[in-house]
Amino acid sequence: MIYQIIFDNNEVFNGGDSLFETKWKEIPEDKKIRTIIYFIPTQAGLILSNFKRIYHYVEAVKDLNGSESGKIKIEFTYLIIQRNNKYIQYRINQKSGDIEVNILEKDSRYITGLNPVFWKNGNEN
Amino acid sequence: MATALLVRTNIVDADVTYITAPADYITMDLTNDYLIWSKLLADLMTHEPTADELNAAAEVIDPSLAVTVTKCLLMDYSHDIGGSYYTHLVKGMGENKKFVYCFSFDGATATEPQLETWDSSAHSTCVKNVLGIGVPANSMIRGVCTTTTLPGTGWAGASLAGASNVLLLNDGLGAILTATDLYANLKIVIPAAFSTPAAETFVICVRYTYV
Repeated sequence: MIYQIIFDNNEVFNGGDSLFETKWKEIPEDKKIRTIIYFIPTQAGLILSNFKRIYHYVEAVKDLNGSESGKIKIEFTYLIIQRNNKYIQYRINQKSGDIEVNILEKDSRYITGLNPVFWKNGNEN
Repeated sequence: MATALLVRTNIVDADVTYITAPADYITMDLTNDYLIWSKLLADLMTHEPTADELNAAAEVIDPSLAVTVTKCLLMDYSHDIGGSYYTHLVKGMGENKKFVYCFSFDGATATEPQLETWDSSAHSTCVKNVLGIGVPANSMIRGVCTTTTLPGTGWAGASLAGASNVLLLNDGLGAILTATDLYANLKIVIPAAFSTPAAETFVICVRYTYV
């Protein structure tokens, strides 16, 4: 399982088993997320709570030529939480398990360029 | 399901979209097909070009003028389009044309897809001559997003190399919201009197995201 979500009402949603099938779209829109436990390659869990919204996505790279041409390579996954007006990005290296934490500006191209439909609601205002 | 990407090249008419004329495009088999930039290599070859043939057909460095490599050909390993041909001229490469290289996504992305160039599939360096010898701004690979507009006559394009000099494929408009074809035009411009002739391979990749 990639992640597990605990809603405000204590119900649990289990994420997909593969980075090619994350089930992020299937998270119910009408429930507020209290906590996400995100499992990283080292088997440790990144636990995030107290956010207004949360976003998860997978970064894929496809080479048009070369020794690994045509393969879909997943190097990083990302979690972004909105807490008040701050956006905190967790960039997770899927090979090493290292996590880089970045603070992003609300008006940055990065945040405004996100597909808005994939945000999920947290339980903070 | 993960969003999937197919890469297509236009071999007939670079004024028409893939949706309008799918037969004008070849969908690349990325495991076996590849692109060749050349001055003289023939369209519609009946065998895979040899190293000697590639060398004999190479672009020539000009002592006083920058040279745009004359043509780009798709090496079609399956050689099953329009006959038994291994090479197909990519139409509109480097010209004021929109629909040359097509990137077809079968669903939404989380962020804007981007095209990158690297020395190898490790995606860690860009020190080859064609990629600017470690200075991305000097890369000979020029790219322009043509998803929404023509690139213009004599378009300069952006120099592409590494993680900093990339080509956003949706004109900087952000993520794509549904299945969409994005377009770009690419060319290679060799500086005047460039001192290091070389036959080089480099890796083009598309970085994209999904939820």
